[in-house]
This record gives sequence, C-alpha cells and structure tokens, in this order.
Amino acid sequence: MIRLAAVTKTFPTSGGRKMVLDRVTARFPGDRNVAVIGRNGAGKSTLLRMIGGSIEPDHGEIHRFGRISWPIGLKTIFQGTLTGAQNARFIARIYSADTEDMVEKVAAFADLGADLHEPTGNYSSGMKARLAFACSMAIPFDVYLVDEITAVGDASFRKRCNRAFRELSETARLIMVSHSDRNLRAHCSAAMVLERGRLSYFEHLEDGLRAHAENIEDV
Amino acid sequence: MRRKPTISDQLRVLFALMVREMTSRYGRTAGGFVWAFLEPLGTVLLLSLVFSQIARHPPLGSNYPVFFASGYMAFHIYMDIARSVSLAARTNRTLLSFPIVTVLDTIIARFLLQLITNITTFSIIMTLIIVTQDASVGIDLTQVFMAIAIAALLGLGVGAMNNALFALSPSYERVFGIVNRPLFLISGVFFLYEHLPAGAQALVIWNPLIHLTAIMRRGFYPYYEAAWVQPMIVALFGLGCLLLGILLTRAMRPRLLEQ
Repeated sequence: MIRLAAVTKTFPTSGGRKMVLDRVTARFPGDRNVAVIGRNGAGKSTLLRMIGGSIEPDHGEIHRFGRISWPIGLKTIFQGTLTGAQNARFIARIYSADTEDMVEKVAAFADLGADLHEPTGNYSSGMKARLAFACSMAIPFDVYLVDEITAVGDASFRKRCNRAFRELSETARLIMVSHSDRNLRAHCSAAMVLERGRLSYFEHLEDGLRAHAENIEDV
Repeated sequence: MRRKPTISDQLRVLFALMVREMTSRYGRTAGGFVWAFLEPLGTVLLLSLVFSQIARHPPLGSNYPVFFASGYMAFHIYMDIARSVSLAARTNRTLLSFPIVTVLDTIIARFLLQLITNITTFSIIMTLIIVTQDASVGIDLTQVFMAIAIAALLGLGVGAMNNALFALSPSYERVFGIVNRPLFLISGVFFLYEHLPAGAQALVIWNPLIHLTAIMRRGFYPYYEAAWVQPMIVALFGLGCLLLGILLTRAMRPRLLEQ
C-alpha cells in the first residue's frame, strides 16, 4: 500500500513551473493493480518516480509499505561501457539478490543470446528495453511500478511480458502507466486519474477510463 | 511496514557502486590503472628533469625526484580525489533512478575507490623512486600518513561541496576549474615556504595545500621542521567543507536528481 499525504509537486519547464500534484492526499490500495491514467504531460511518470522514491515531493509525504521497484521501462539505467550481464550484476548487488542467479534469469527472459556479454552502449533501444524489463522481473518486489513498458519489443516479447505480469499479480501489485487501454484492461482493476494536479481514485478501471475520456473532451 | 534502508543496505550499495566503477574504469583494459600510475610518475620525472638543468640541488636534500615526488604526490592525492568526487552525482545520475542509491552513496563510493587507487600509486611511486635513486631517506611514517589523511579529507570535502555547487551554478564550475589550475604553482610543489619573501608567505599560508605538501616533506626529510604548519586547522577546514557539502547535497537533492 502507498499513501500520499498532502503531496505537492511542481516540475520546472521553460515556461515556468508546471503543477503535477496540488496538495494531493490519496491511497493506492494494497490489494489492487492500479492503472495511472492522464493526458500527455500530466506528470504520470513523475508520479511513478515519486512513488519509487527517486524524486521527492516539494511538500507533503509519501508513505510506502513494502518493497517498491524502480519505474520499470526506464532504459537509462544502464552504463554503456558495461556489458548487459555486468549491469544486471550491479542491480542484483544493490537489491541483495544472488548475482549469478540474476544473470541466468535475465538471460532466459531477455533472450539476448551472446549480446548479453556486449557493452550495453552498442544495444539498440529495443534490446535495452528487453534487458531493463528482464532485470526488474528478476528481483522480487511487493509493488512493481510499470511505465509504458509494453510499447517495446516484438510480439513474442510482449507475450512474455504479459505472462510475467500475470504471474507477478499473484504475489505482488502493479501500478501501471500505459496509453493502451487494452493493456490496462489486461492487468489492472482499479484506476487513478491524474488531471490538473488532482488524483481521483476509481474502484473500477472502466469508470476511470470513462472519466479520463471526458476530461480529454472538454479541453 | 515502511522499509527504511539499513546500514547493511547502504554497505551493499557502496560495494556495488565500487565494483561497477572499477569494472568500467579498470576492467576493460589494463590501461585504466596503468594511467592512474603513469600520470603522476611522468609529472614527477618531467619536473625533475627540467629543474635539475636549472639548479644542481633541490631546496631540500640532494635528489630531485624525491623532492618533487614528496610534494607533487601529496598535491595529486588531493586533486585527484577532489576532481573525481566533484562529478560523482553527475556521472552516476542514471543510477539515481534506483531509489535505493543516494547521492551520498555515489560520493562515498568514488572517494573510497579513489583513495585506494591513490594510496596504491603513491606507495609504488615512492618505493620506485627511493629504490632506483638509491636515496638514503629517513621516512617518518606518522607524517606520511597524516599527509595522506589530510589530502583525502580535503579532497572529499571539496568534492562533496562541488557536487551540490556544480549543479547550482555552472559558472562556479568554470571558476573552480580556473582557480584549481594555478593552485599547483602556489602549493609548494616547486619551492619551500621558508624560501619565499615575507609578503608572499603571508599570502600562501592561507592555501591549505601548502601545509599539505610541507607535512608530506616532513615525512621524507625528518630534519625539515616547518614549524609554521597547522595540520589541525587544515583538517578542520576539510571537515567543514565535508559537512557543508553533505548539508548542501541534502538541500539540493531534488535538483541533483532532476538536472
């Protein structure tokens, strides 16, 4: 479970500071997979990074219960001079997982073959995404933050991602950002709609999607 | 339950950061470490070569390489640590996406790695020079350790402060680069404080690095007294920079993460 208590967050842009959250108090329940919905640039990724703890709110507090992943889908977590396997070992070390076990799991999931032992600087963006996804799946978390991951890879990789999410859902929760309603319907049952600095929780995903559609209409 | 990072979490992160930096810097080619060692050695030899053409004897003792190595290495340990630590947050910015990795972790990991590297290169270079030059020097290890400790503390303090200040102001970063270069000339690598005119003495005494090089020289020239040296004050200055750096890093945390 994750609780936001009077959280304010602004983001610097060229046209001054943009409001992402305006004194928001909200609760992500511990027993539901929640879709985070909002228009482009509303701050969905910022919200995920804040929940993960890699950026901090300007005001207010975030209470986290359980072990929370970094926002999955980030391709910028690798150091280009290190190989895929070395990067995976680094992640295993910081999250106290067994390094060789980690490399095995990542090799099986990312399906990069011999490229796993090439510097990630030479990877295509699709390969990086596969590696990033495989790394996050190999570490056990209570909550996985998922940011637009399913946009990458070929059909067979997407299939593997979806299967992995379903398996995870048995023991862990997902908080997911995606522009694909189909994806959200496949994995989430509830919704958090981010609109003009406010967060509204919807018990049913469909209600959230409908509210979002209405928001977009009356621009 | 909210899971706060424990000491063992932090130690694990430090270890992982150090392994990572070592693999990316020294792992791919043997060249990485060799350069860390050749750069100061080359500087010392070049200085010795040039200055021995100008005067027969160095200001202390009779051997140029020992004179320059004792002064330059002390300066080098400080400068190398300060430079590397200054960029810790920026170089490791992508890693800060992992919530478990903090800016302070990247600073400490870089510091430890640089300290270990520098102690190793220092020991090799001093041994090499003393053995090949057949110089009979009496070594005062207390002074040598004190010089290394003060160089490390100054480097860490200045580096920690720069992490925050570089992010705050790009012009400060440029000024720091400009000020740092001539520092080499006024830190007692080429000369002794005692041989300066009184007016110059009154100025350079404010440079913490001239105390540093003098302490290292005391380690290799036991008869060199340098009674004017203030190790405590210089150490306190380093400590002050470090504390200020930690405070600034905390205050600047959002900025460091989002830059």
